[in-house]
Amino acid sequence: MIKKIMILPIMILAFSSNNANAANPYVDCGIGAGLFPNTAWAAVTSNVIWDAGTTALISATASEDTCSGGAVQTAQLIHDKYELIETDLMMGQGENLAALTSSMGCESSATLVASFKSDMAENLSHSDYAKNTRIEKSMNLYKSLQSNKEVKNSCSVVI
Amino acid sequence: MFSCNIDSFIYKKTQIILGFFLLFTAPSLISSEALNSTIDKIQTLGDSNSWHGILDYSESELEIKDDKQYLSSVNNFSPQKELELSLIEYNKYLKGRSDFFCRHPSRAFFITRHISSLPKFNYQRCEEYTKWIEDGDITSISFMYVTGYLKNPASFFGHTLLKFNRGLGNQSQPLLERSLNYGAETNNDAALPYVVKGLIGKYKAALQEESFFRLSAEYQEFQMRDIFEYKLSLTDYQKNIILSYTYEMQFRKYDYYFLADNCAYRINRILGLALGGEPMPKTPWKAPIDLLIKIHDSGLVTDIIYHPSQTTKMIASIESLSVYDKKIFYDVLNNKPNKYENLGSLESTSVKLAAIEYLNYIKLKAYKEDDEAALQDIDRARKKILLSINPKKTFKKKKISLTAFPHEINRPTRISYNSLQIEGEKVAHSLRLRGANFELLDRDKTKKTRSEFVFLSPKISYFDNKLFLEELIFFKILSLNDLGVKIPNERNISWGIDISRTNLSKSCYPCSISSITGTIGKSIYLNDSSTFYSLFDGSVHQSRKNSGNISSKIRTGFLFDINNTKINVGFEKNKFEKNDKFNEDSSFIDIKFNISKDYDFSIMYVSSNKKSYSSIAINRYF
Repeated sequence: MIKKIMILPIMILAFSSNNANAANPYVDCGIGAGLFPNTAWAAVTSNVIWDAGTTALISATASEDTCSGGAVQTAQLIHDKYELIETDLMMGQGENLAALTSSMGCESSATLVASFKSDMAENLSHSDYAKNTRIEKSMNLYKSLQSNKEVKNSCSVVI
Repeated sequence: MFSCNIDSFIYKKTQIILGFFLLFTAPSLISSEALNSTIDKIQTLGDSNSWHGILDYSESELEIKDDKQYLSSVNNFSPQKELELSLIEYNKYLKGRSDFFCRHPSRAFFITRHISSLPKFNYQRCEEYTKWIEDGDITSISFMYVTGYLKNPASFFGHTLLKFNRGLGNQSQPLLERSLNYGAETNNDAALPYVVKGLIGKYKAALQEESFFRLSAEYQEFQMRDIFEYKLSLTDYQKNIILSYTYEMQFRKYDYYFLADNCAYRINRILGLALGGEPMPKTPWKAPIDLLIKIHDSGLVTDIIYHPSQTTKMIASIESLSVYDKKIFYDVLNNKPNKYENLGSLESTSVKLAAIEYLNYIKLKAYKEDDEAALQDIDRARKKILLSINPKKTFKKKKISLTAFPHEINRPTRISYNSLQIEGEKVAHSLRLRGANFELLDRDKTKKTRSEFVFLSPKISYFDNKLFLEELIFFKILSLNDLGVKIPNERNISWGIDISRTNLSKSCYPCSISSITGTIGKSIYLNDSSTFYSLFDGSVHQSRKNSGNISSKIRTGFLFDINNTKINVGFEKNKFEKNDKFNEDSSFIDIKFNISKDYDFSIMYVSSNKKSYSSIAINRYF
C-alpha cells in the first residue's frame, strides 16, 4: 500500500502535465473518494488521495463548473462502472459502452468501437495492469480515450 | 360565538388582501363576478393536503422552521396566511419584482393550477430551476424499487428512488439519467447502530441527486441488489409538481426515522403531491414494498424495466450455457483465481462472458473485504479472458427477461387469526400482526432463494380466560441460500438469526421466554418448486420451569410449491440444557393456501412424542 501511495502522486502529476489544457477530473474532483462511502474500497481510494496530498487541491480547485459536464461525467462513469466498461469495450457492445459513447457525445460507428477495443486491449496488456488500483486503471483508460483520434473526430465532448 | 367572530375576521382579511391583489394590482386577471368563488377556492386550497404537503406542513406543524423558506412567520404558522401571501408574491413575480418562486416553484405550479385565471408559471428566468429540469427536456419520471440486501439487515425492507428520464428517443441512455435518492446521513455507521439510531430519530436525512450510473454501481454491483424501474405516466402538472418540489427538497434536511419517516415515506409524499393524495396506507411504518404496490395499483405504470444485480447477471450467464460449456466453466473456475489453469479452454464467447461475470462478482466481494492479493489474482484472470474475447459480429449479449415482479406478492401487511388446539387442552385464539415483511411460505417469485424476514411482529392470544402477549418477534431472518445454480467456490450455507419473545414449548403452554437463536445449515435446490433443508438452531434464553438457558434444535424438511399452495413438511428434535420434560421429537406439516393478494389461510399439524397440536390460520393482507 505504501508503494502505491508513493506512486500515485507521480502518476497524477504525469497525467496532469500531459493534458495541461484539460482539467483532470480524477485530481480536481476527487473521483473515487465519494462512491460507496461505507466500504473498504472507498476507504482505500480516499486514503490514497489523502496521503498523496491532493485533498487540499481538491477543495481548492474543485468548483461546480470544473466538476460537472461531460468530461467529469465520463471520468466518473469509467471509475464507477470500470469492470463492466472493460467487458463492454472488449465485446464491442453493451449498455455501459453505449453510456460511455453518449457521455462523450460521440457519433457511434464501427471504427469508433474498434478504436475503444484497441485502447482497452492496450491497457489490459500493460504488465502492471493487475497491480494497479481501480482509480489508476480508470485514469489510464481515460487518458487513452483523451488521445484516441477517433474520439477527437467523432465526439463532441472534450475530455 | 368567539370562533365565528374569528372566522369572520379571517374571511374579511382574506377579502381585503385578495381585493388588493386582484382589483388593484392585477385587475385584468379576474372578473369581479368570480371574486367570491375565488375567495372560497382560496379558503379550500389553504386547507388542502396538497398545499400543506408543498409547505412541509404536517400534523399542524412545520417540519422545518426556516424563515427563509416562508413568506409568513414560522412561529404560529398558518398555511392559509402563507397562501394569501404567496398570491401577492406571485403578482410581484409576474411583474419581475420578486424571485421567490424561482426558489419555491412548486407553489407557483400549485396556485396557477388551482386558480386558473392566474397566468401560467413561467420559469424561464429561473436559471437554477431551468437547469434542474434540463430545460424542459424531462419527459417522464420513473419510480425505482431496490430489493433487499441480505448482507445488511437494515436494507431488508428494500429501497426506493426516483429517476428523471429525458426525451432523447433512441439516444436515451438510462445510466446517464439523473436519479434522486433519499437517505439518512449515517456517517457510515454499521448496520446495528444504523437501525438503533434510525429507530429513535438520531439522523438527519436529505434528498440527493446522482447520475443513475452511480446508484446503479452502488446497488446493482456493490450491494448486488436488483432494481425494478416502474415508468410512470404523468400529466404535465403532475410532472411539474414532482420536479419543482424535489428541486426545493434538495436544500432541506429532515429528521429521519427508520420505520416511519424514511425513503418510502418521503417519496410517497412527493408522489402524493402529484396524485392529489399520498398513495401509501396510513400505517405507523412506511415500507417501500407498500408504496410499490400502491403505485402499481394506481394505474400510472406504463412500463417495467429490470436492472439486474451482478449476482443475477452472473447466475443468468451460467444458466444460459450449454451443457458442454457449463462443464468447462466449472472445470476451470472451481478453484482459487491464482490456481486457475486452462483459461484457454474457455472457447466460446458465451462461456468467456460467464467467466467474466463470475470474476466481476468475486472481484466485488474482494473489494468489500479489502483483499488486495485476491483483487490482483482476479484481475490477472480477467485480463487473460478479456484479451481473448473476439465475438462474432452476429453475437448478441442475452438480455435477462423478467418473469416475476415484486408487486405481484401478497399485500405486505398481514393480520392473522390463529386457532390452536393442543392435545388435552382448550383451544387458544390468537391475533398476529406482521408489517411489510415476508416468510418462507409467502408467494414471491422474484426471490432467487427462499428466505424470510420479520421485524417487530406481536401475537396476542386468548387462552383459558386469559389474554396475553404470547409472542413478539423483534427481528427474525432466515436465508436458506438454496440457489439453483452453483456458484464456484461458494458453499451457500443456510443461516438465520431470531431475537424474539416466544413460547418455550407446547408442553407448558402458555410459557413465554425471551430468546436469541442462531441458525446454520444447508439447503439443496431440487427444482423450481422444491427445496430440501437441514438446519441446526442454537438458542440462549430465559429459564422457565427449570428449562435451563440453552437449547438446541435440529430440523429437516422439504418445501414444496404446488401452484399457489406452499407446503413445509419435516421433522424436528428439540433438546434443552436441564429439563428432559421439554425435550421433544416431532414431525410437522404446514400448508399455506395463497388464494389471493388479500386473503389466504394455512393449516398445520404437529405430531409430537410430548404434546401434539394442530392449528388453522386465516390471513388478511392489506
